[in-house]
Amino acid sequence: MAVATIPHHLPWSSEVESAACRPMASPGRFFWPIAALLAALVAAGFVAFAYQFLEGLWVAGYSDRAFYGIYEANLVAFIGVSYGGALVSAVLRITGARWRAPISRMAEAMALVSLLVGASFAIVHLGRPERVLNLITSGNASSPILWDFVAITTYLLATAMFVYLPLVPDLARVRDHLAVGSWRGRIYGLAAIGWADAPEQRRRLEWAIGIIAVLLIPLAVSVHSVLAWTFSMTTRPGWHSTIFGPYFVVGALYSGVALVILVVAAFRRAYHLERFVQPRQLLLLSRIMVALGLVYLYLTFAEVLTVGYTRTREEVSVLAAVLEGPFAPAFWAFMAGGLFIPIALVALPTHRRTGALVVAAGLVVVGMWLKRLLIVLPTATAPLIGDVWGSITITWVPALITLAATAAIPLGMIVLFRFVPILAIDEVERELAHRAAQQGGPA
Amino acid sequence: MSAHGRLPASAIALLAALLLAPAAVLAADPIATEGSEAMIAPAGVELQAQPAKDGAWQVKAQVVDSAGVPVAGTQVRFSVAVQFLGPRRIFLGSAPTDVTGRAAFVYRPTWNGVHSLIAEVGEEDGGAVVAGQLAVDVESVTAPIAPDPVALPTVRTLAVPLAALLVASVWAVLGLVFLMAVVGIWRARPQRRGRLEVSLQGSIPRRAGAAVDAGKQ
Amino acid sequence: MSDLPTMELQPSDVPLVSRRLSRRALLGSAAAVAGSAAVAPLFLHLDQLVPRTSAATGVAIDTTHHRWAMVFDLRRCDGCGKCTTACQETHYLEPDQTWINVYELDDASGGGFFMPRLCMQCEDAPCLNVCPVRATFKNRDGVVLIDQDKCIGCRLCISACPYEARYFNWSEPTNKPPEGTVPTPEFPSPQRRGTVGKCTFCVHHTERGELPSCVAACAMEAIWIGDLDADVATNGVETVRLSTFLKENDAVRYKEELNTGPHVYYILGHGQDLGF
Repeated sequence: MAVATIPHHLPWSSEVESAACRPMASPGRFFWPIAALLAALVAAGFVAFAYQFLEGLWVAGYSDRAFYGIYEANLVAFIGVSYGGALVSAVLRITGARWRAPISRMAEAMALVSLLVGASFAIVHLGRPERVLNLITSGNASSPILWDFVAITTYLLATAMFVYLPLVPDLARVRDHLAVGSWRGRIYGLAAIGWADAPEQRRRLEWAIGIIAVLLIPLAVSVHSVLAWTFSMTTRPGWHSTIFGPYFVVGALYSGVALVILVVAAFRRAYHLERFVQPRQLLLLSRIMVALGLVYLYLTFAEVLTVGYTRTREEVSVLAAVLEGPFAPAFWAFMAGGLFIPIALVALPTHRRTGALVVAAGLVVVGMWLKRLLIVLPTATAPLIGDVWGSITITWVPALITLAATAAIPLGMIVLFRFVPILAIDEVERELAHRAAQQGGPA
Repeated sequence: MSAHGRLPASAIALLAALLLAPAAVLAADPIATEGSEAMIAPAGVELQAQPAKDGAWQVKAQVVDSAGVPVAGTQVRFSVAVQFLGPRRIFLGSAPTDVTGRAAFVYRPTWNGVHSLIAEVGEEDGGAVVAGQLAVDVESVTAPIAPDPVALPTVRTLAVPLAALLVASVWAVLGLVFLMAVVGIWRARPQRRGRLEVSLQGSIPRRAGAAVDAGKQ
Repeated sequence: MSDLPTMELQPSDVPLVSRRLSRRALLGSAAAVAGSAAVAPLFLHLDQLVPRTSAATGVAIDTTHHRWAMVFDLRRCDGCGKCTTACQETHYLEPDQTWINVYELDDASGGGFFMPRLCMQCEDAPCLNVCPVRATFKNRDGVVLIDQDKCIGCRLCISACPYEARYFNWSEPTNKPPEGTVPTPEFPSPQRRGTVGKCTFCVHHTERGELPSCVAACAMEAIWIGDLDADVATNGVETVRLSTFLKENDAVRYKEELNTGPHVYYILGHGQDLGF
C-alpha cells in the first residue's frame, strides 16, 4: 500500500494499519530472545507447580498458623491488575473518552491475559487441584469460593467477548491483505465472520459492544467483591471488615490502570507507536491512576482509623503488627512507594514527563502487590487463641511461580500481537477521521 | 444383704409399667423379699412414684428392716440408671427417712423414655440394699438445653436462589447478545462475489477520503 | 466458561425465539444434571441409617439419636497433654496436628491456666457454611465431619473457624494406620494429603458405645462427653445429669458472642477470667 506524505499530527489511516500490523510480521529482532526468556520462566513455573502437586503444599511454605500466603495474594493481585482493561475499554467507552482509541486494544489484551494468569492462582493454591470440578458436581452455593468461581468465569467470558468483538473489523483488515484462499486468510476470514463494514453489521457490532461494556462494569465489581468476601466472610481480625468489597475493587482499578500505563509505554517504545500513542494518553491515564490512588488512600485510612480508635483486643493486635510490628517496614514502604510517591510524581507539574509517569506506574504495581501480601499475611498468621503468631516461610516454589506468572503476562501479550493488530485499527481510524472532521482542515 | 430373688418381680414391674398408658404409671410394687440375718438394719426398700405437677414425679422410698419395722433417720440415696456409652448411674440426691421410714424425693425427668429409678440405703462399702427399680415412663419432656437457633434464616434461604437467578440471567444476556451480534454480522455479510466488490468499495471511500484529505493539505 | 455449551456459527432460518428456548433447555438440563450430581453424594451416607455391627468387635452400632456435647472442667485440667497424645495415637496424626490442643493462657489475676480446645461442633458451623464442595458436613447427631475424598484443600474452613480447630495435611502423612484401613469421614485415617482434618468427637468410638479417646485418657477426669438430648454426661468415672451439671457449675461456652452455637462447655475455676 502506498504511504503518502504524512503531516506529523494527522497520520494517514493506512499508516494506522501499517503500524498496527507490523508487529505481526516483523516484531523486531528482540522478539525471539525475549519470548524465549519469558517462556523459560513460565516453563520453570510449571515445573515448580508440578513439584508442589506431587509433594504437597508444605513446599510452598504453608503451615497451620500460616494457612494463606503468596498464592492468595497473587490471586487478588493478578486478577486486580486486569481491571485496567475493564476501565479503559468499558468505562472510558461508556463515558465517551475518545482518547482511549489507540490504547484500547493493548488494555483489553492485557486484561484478558492477566485475568487468565490470575485465575490460575485459584487452582495453584489448592491442596487438591485435580478435584476442582467438585465445585460443579458438589457445590455449596453459600461458599465464597464458589462465588469466586462463578464470578471469575462469567467475567472471563465477558472479557473474552469484549476482546473479540472490537477485533472483528481488524481481523477483516488482515484478512483482506492476505492472499485469498491461503489457509491464514481462511482462518482470519472465519474469525472475521464476514465483516465488510456494512451498515447493518456496524450497527450490530456497536450494539453488542455497548451492551457488553455496560455489563462488564458490574461484573468487574462483582469479581473483586467476591474475592474480598472470601476473606471478609470470616471473623478473623483484619479481614472481617465491611468495606473489603469496595476496598478490593478500588485497589484493583488502581493497580490495573498502573499496569495499563506500563504496558502501553512498553509497547509504544518496542513497536514504535509513538505517532499514535501519545504522551497525552499516558498523562490522562496517570491522572485516573492518581484519582484512584487517592480513593485507595482514603479507604486505607478509614480502615486503620476504625480499628485504631476502638482498639478491640484481637483487631488491634493485627493492626499493631502491621503499623509498628514485623510488617511495619513493608507497610510503610507501601504507603510511601505505592501511594505517596507515585501520586506526587504524577500530580506535581514539573514531573509530567513520560519517564516519571512510567516510574510512578511501576511503583504502584509493585506496591499494590505488596499491599495484597499485607492484607493476607498478618491475619493468616495472627493467633485466635493465645498469642503465639505463626511464621511465614518463603520458599523457591511460590517465588518461582510468581515470577512465572509475571512473565506470562508479557509473553501472552507479545504472542497475541503476532496474531492480532496491536492497535484497534477501526477505532483509531474513526477517531482520526472524527478529529479531522472537527478540525475541518490542517491543524 | 443380697439382692437376689427380686429380679422376677422387677421384671414384672418393668413390663407392667411399659404396657400401661403414659398418663399415669402405676408404681410397680416390688415384692420386698429377702429377709436376711435379723439385724436392726435396713433390709428392704420399696419405691413408689406419683406424677406431680410440672412434669415432676414425687418419689417415695419406704425403708423397713428385716422384721418389717420402718427404719427412721437413715439416708436414702436416689439414682437413675442410664445406658450411656456403657451402663451408668446418675446420682440424683439423698434424703433421710422420717419416723414412718419414708424418704421423699422430687424427680424431674429431663428426657423421654423409661427411667429406672434406684434407691439405696446403707453403707456404701458395706453393700447397699437396692430397691426394685422403679420404671417411670416419661414422654412429654423437652430437652432442657435446646439447640441454638440459627439467626436470619430467611436471608440465607432467599439469598442463594436470588443470586443464582442473577447469575443465570447475566449468562443468558451475555450469550444472547454475543450470539445475536455474531450471527447478525455473518448474516449481513455481502455475498461472495459481492464481497470483493464491497471490500474494494469499502476501501475506495477510505482511500478516496484520504485523497480528499490530501487535497485539503 | 467451561460449561457454556458451544454453538455453531451458522446462518439459520430458525427464529431467534426457539433458539433461545433450546439454549434454555440446554442450560436447564445441565442444571438438572448438576443438581442431581450434587444431591447424589448425600446417598453415600445412607449406610449410617441402617443398623450394622462392627465386624471386628461384634458390637452393635448405636443408631439412636444424639446431640453430642463435651464439658471441660478447667478446675481439674493440669495441662498434662495426655488427651492430645491419646487423640494423636487414635487417629494416627502428625505431631503438629493437635486436634485437641491444650493452650496455656493467662487469667485476669496474673496466674495461668490450661484450656483444652477441640472442635466445638457448632450448631451454625462457619466451616460448613464456607466449604465450596460440601466436604464438611454434619451428621445426624450434630457432629461436623469432613469427607477427605471431596475436599479440594482451599482452606477456607480453616480461615472461617473462630477456634483454630482445623488442621491441614500439608504433606503426605507419615503416621499411618495398619495397611488396608479404609478412611471414612467418621474415622479419616489414613488422612489424605492436601485435605483438612479435625476432631470428630470420636464418633467411631461413641457409635460403638465407647468413650472418646481424650475422655478416657484424661487422668484428672476433667473431660466429659455428654448428650444434650438425653441430658446426661460422663467422664468415664462419674455420670451426671448434663443440664444440672452445667447450671450448678456455671459452665460457659467459648466465644459464644460469635453465635456459632458451640457444643463444648467450660467449667471455669474460681478467679478465672478468660475473657470468654
